[in-house]
Amino acid sequence: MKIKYMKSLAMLVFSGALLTSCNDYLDKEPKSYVTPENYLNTADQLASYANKLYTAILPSHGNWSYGLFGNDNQTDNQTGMNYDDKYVKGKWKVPLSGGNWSFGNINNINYFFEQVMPKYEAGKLSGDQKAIRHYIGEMHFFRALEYFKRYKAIGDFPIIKTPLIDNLSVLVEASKRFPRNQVARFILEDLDKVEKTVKLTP
Amino acid sequence: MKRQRLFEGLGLKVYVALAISLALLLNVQFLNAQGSTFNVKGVVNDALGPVIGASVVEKNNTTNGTITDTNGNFSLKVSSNATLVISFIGYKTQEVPVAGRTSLTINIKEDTEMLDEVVVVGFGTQKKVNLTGAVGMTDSKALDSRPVTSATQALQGLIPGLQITQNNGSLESNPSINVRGTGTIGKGSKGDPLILIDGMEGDLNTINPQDIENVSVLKDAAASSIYGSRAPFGVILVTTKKGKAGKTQVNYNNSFRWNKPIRLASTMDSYTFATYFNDGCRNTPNRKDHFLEDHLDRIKKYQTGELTSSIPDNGNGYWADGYATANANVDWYDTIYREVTYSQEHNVSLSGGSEKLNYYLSFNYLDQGGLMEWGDEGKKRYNTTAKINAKLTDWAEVNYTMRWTRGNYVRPSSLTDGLYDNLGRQGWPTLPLYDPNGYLYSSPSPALQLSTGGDDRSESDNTYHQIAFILEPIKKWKTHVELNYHVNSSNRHWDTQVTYNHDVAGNPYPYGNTESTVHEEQSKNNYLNFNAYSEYSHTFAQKHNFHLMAGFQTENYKEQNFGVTRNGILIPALPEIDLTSGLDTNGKPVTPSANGARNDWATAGFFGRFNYDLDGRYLLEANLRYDGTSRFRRDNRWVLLPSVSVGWNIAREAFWEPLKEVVNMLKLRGSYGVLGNQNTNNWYQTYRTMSVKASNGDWLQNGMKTNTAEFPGLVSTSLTWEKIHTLNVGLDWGLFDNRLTGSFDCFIRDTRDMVGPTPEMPATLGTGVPNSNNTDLRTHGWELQVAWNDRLDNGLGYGVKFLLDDSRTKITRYPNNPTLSLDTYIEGRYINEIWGYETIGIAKTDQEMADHLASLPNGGQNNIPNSGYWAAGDIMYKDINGDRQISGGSNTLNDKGDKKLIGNSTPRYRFSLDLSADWKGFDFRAFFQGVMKRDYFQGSSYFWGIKGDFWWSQGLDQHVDYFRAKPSNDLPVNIDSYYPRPIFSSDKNYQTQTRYLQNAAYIRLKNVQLGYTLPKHITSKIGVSRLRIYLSGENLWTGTSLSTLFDPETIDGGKGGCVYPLSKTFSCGLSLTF
Repeated sequence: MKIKYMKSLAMLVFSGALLTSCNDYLDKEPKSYVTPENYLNTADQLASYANKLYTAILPSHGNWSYGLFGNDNQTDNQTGMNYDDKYVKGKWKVPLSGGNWSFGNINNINYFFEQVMPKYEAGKLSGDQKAIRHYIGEMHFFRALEYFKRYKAIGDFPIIKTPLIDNLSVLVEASKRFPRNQVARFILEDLDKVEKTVKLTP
Repeated sequence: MKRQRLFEGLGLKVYVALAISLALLLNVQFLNAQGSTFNVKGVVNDALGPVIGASVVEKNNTTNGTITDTNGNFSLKVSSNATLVISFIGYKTQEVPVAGRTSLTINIKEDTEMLDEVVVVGFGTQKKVNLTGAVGMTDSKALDSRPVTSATQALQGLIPGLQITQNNGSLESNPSINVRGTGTIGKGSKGDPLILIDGMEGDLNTINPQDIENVSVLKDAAASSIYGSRAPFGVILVTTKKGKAGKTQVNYNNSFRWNKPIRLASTMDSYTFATYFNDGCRNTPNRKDHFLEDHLDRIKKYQTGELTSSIPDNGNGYWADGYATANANVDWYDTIYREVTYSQEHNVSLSGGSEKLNYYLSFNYLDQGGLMEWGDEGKKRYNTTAKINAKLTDWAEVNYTMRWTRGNYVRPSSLTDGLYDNLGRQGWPTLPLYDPNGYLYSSPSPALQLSTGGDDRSESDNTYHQIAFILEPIKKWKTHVELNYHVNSSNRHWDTQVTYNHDVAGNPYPYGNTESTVHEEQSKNNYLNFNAYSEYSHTFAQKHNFHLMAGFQTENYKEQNFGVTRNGILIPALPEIDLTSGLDTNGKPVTPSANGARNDWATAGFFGRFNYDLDGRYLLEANLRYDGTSRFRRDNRWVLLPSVSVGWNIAREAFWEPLKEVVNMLKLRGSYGVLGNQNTNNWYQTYRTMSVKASNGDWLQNGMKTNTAEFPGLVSTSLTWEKIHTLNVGLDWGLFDNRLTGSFDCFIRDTRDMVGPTPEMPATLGTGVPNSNNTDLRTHGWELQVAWNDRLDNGLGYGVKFLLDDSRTKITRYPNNPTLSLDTYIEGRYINEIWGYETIGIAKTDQEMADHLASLPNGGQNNIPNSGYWAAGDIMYKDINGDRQISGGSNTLNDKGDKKLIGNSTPRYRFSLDLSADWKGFDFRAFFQGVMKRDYFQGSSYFWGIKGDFWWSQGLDQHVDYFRAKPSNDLPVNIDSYYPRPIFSSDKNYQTQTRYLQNAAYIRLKNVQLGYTLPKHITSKIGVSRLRIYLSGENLWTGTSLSTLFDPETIDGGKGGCVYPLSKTFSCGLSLTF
């Protein structure tokens, strides 16, 4: 009888061991995709991330349009192909989405800080340290600029400093607007950091 | 009669002479085995009297045998101490020692319970009577002599619930395989069944169809749960042939085939086409006739032969624009596809060995011609199989199988789905195929690029190695250890060549393809599978039968591929990367594009099965599988999947005894089980991945494009397994000595927590909302199989087999359509619903239309987009909701205006009918397959002719039946037309509506074959044990009320219903066994 128990115990230990080794065996990380864990570790990777945001945040030219020059549409200088809803009674409505109530760029910047800052503080980022500081500074500048746009257009605006997850209550909580003076302070905070980090000449 | 005898006598003499010379040559044994033999005569009877055609063979000497004649008599030369083996299908095999007797009377008994019939199930076999899950099966006989290109095609309609759809006739496209209908609509998961060949995942399209011994389909969760999360939507188990102990058997068979396209469209003749397009122009506001008077005149003259030039020259040394001026008369469908193409298949197999060591070898070669007239098109398949089974000791056995397949395929580079569009819109009959100098000419039109635009060649090799040890140290305790390895290695080459038109003087100039490129790609996939399982069975008190099995399975799959494309072929005949310049036609360097990646996945699973039956009456089976996959992370990786099934053999109960004469077998079964689905399209779904790209930034720095990296999209924090719950109830029966057999299954399969788009979240998230498990569906249906098999006293054997199945899918949870839009899935409704207007008819006169519009004072039919002016020849839609106007509302379930549910495009009631008969060596089979109910609506210009944009419209023969209030050129008045008046750039008459809803139900004579097996007493004299010659035809006849534009099987394929046609095949061949 005892032997039987011993046997089942051995079996149990064996299958436990098998399960653990199975788990190691079943850990398959993507080999041909970049995961966040192995990116944003070097100066040029920070640069690549910043580069993508240039066209999204700074005034830029897109395809199939005349870009910056179109900004003068509907002024006394020029008119566009289509009329501006502002000048037609009943057509000027608040859109359901988009406009300045958008958080895409802010989220992208916050994600950068979430990933990079701990590594930076731990000294784990490789490459030219000056350049690293510069790109961190660029990100602070981008966030300040984004918030300045919101400040101009809306005033009171949610201040979000970290990337958020897909949880309704968290997002609702984060949607609360902060008074505009706090938004202004937040912009200045970012700009202070820009001053300390960004190289003015390459 | 006299003549026949004469022939027989003559034939016999020839055969005897042949046999003797062969025997002398080969020193065949039967000459020196004469000594101690004597003639034994006998009669074989069953309960009803003599049995005709029963096989009587000497034991351990299978070459010495005969069959009983019409009186059940036989006579055989044997030695006095021999034992005879008497067997007949449906009867228990019996052994009778001769023991010196010269006359025997043998009574054989019907195998009423078919106790020995065994079904292959997951990790083992099971007696059919003890089966409790839903398992469908077929054997190699049903696949015999089918002139098809793959085993998958031959399996269509053979097993109820196994749905095989070939929706494109192109040699490149493989049929889709599905068990019991829609499994998942989830974003990113597959609902395909698992296909196992001898227990290892394999490709049914490349296997040698003649290696197949039998096929089982595990349909419900109870049957497939032993395979766990790899098999949530059924398993197809293919068992291949293996060597049999005994004399070496060599089989050679071949098949020669002629294929013709079926249901091929044809373009209007040029003059009718011009008339049709002009009428379309006249009906369209602000559009003038495209074909002017002199153009029409030239078209007519070319048709009558008065004019020989198909295209004028434009005065500048070139041919004028084809669309504006050409006057040829070409049927492009007829031009592109061949009238007939030739194919052949050869197969050789060898088997033999002893009880201790036996082998099976086979070689198969298929050369399938394509229907494409231009360029190179065809498919070749090579297969070899070697199987060795060896008994090492009394308790150990080893099996080794090696299988190698190669598939070669070649097609013109431009034979892609785009061709089906181009055939219509660039296939104007007025465009010349050849210019007046005899050069292929493109206006653009399809032939030039197909012919000289380059080839796409691919080669795919599969190598399978399977080694299995079976150990039985203690009686009834068996352990199986299996190692399977599969390597797929494939390469593909395509090149696009510059194509040339020729000017009037015959000088070539680039036209169509102006760039030349070469592309090469390689991929290699490795698959490793290890299984180990142990089983034990025991019987207590002679009626409590237990069977226990437990095991472990693991799989690891790795794929790697790379490809490269480079411009500028230097020598058109040698399209190789080494011989490219890397420049475009203007001499500018083009960066070669390259790609490459590697990916992998792995699974591990523990499984167990417990069977119990009480005296074969009450059956119970329980399965448990604990599965882990690399597609989930540790916290969510493992899933426990249970299933249970029960059965009751009613016919074995004592109370059934009085009925047993009629109903020999009656079994009720039921099962329930849960399975997970690990077959996600994204192998790394739980990982966030960043898009990192080189030199693609739009903001130049120092004059260079920069590298960029992007925010990794979110992965839902709650992402988990998609689970499938299946409930199955079934009934099996066998009546009248098992001549009438059948089964019925009824199932409900719930797919829960499919991954789908998530409803919107507050904008503060700042990125796309990740998909999550939030969609459910329910598929329910049933399957019926009824077969009757009998042999009459005169030796005529015949059989009828009828299969019918149905399945429907309802969406039970779908949060992503809150407005209940009719354009996507709606919670609580069946999938594939067709919503549309009810048609009153085509207004024959302007007055009729005016009257109709007068009945709709609140807006008439003007809510239909681009409606414009309504007149005679337009569609009158019915006001269903009574609001005195025609509108589609907001196209939602609650506001659908005058739309209603007009049909459903799910194929319902799939059926097949298999009729077979054999008599005195002749055999006949007719196999029908079809769908009893299906609706289909096609909105493409292939169906409508003139529809939408001018340059996307087309004119096929069927479109001539359009509305004409007055004669147009040669076409008479047609106010009872099928099609409305043609109008460009307006959809008003082409709304989804009842009048043009097609009934896609069909019945197709899939296969009919007639064979003759030469009598054994003749063939055996030349050392041939079996010789069969046959004629076989595929897709010979189709019954359907579908528009002749479409083939009912391919309405989902190609583009807008236009597809590479299926073919009708005539074949003949022979099968020779030594």
